[in-house]
Amino acid sequence: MDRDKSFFRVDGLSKAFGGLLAVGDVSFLVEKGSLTSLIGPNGAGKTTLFDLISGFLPADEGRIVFKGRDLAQQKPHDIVSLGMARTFQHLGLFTQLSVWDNVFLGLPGKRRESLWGLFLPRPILRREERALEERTREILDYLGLTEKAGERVVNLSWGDQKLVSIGRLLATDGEFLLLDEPASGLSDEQIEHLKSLLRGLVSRGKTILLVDHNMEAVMDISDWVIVLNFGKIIAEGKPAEILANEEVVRIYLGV
Amino acid sequence: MIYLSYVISLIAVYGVLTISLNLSVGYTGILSLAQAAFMGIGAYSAAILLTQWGFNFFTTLLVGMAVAGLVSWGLAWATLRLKGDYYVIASFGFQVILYNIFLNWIGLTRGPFGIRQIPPPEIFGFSFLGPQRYALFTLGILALCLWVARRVGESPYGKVLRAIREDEAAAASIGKNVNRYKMSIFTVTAMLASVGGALYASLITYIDPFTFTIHESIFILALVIIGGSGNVYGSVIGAAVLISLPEMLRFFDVPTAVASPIREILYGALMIIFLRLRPKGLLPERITSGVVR
Repeated sequence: MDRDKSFFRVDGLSKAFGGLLAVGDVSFLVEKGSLTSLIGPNGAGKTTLFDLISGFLPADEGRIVFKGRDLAQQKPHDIVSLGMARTFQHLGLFTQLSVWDNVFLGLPGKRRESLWGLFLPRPILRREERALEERTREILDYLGLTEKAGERVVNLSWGDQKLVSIGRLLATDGEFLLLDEPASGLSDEQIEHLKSLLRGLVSRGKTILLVDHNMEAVMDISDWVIVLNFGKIIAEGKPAEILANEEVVRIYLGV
Repeated sequence: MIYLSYVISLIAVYGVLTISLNLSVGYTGILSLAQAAFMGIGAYSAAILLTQWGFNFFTTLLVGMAVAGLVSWGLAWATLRLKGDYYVIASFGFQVILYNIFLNWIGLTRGPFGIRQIPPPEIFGFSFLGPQRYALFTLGILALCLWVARRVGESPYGKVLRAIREDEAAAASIGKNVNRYKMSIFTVTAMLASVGGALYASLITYIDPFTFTIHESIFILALVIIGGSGNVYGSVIGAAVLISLPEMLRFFDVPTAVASPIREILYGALMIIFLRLRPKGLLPERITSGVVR
């Protein structure tokens, strides 16, 4: 079966840190509107791959092509404006700011947020802000965070902080979302909520690439699974195919 | 009264210098040790243009701001990519370079001889000569500076600066051009510092390179931290406390030779006491939440 290459693909991507090859000649693609997962043991190169794709690390070799554009020379903030955004394993929230501000800051606002924005007439500023406030409310509502909008993020539980990080991600309005370990540290109940949330996003037209350790959750919600080990892809396919792959089971599950 | 006016002017001048540094240090988390260098650019621009070229004070302010702006933009471009501690060292290096330029470019700055008889500001024929008038003038500029800093702090731009302070990578991950923000606020800081420098030159009427040393940069940084990093009113309070407390020594019968080291020791002790008892400064930052229901 031929898979559609036009949305996002990685070709021969490599990255070494000194003598350690973190990502070696990795190629894969993500189809528009799918939920693709990257799995692999600790140190397999998953987060490095994310950092390469989102522009936080320069690749040694290879190409990353998003909607026909090579991302090689693009800075992280440029990549966001192309429609791709990511979360971090450590969340990287603005912990001293409120939930509301964290989400609100994710919204695009180049002109308003520039130094020159200080000179914008108030009515114009207010009009722009009203639209953004509406969007913030929608996102908070969607994630069930409305009640906590005014709280400082530092005071929230881990589960709620994860939701805020997803809220901030959604605020960027990216169509391609990269989630780094969204299920880690969550309770079973929270994972169920996350699963339906992510599937919901896909059904709303988003494309998701995620990295996670939770095999069960990943297999449940993914359309496509890619297995990394020591920086190389050892298998990829539909969840059922991956579960039936002996090498994956041996390396990843240690059975 | 004359003495009091002088102290008020000095507090206002340092208030301007502290507020401007707070924009970088407090709002954005750029720890800079180059504030005295930009203060020096403003002071020398004013001193040279006023005494040798007969410029109007306000024109010299603009020239000083332009020079400081350009220089800081270049410095920011070259160094702000450096992270945290590395940037601090780079700004220290820049401070040392500028000090040596002030000291050794004798044709321009008169080097160690300094520049004397710097006249007071004049506007439409009205001279701010005399301590009381000058105090009013500096307070006016301080108020303007406070207004600008508050505007910046409360704006969407200021919100992004705080986000950058908390997590640069996260700010970049939601599409903020972190380098551009850091360069722009650093340039604003340098331009306002040059205003502080020009006011200083006009207040003291004499400048030499020994004012614009790393010692001065650290002193202004201490004012930011003691006043309250991220709170611009704190910067004014910090300047008021640290300028006026040692001045009180004058009311005791202390010989000058002893007063000077005592003042230094007092500064040191105050810093330690404040950081021990009020690590967030006299007026800690107040972060307002922008919830709109």
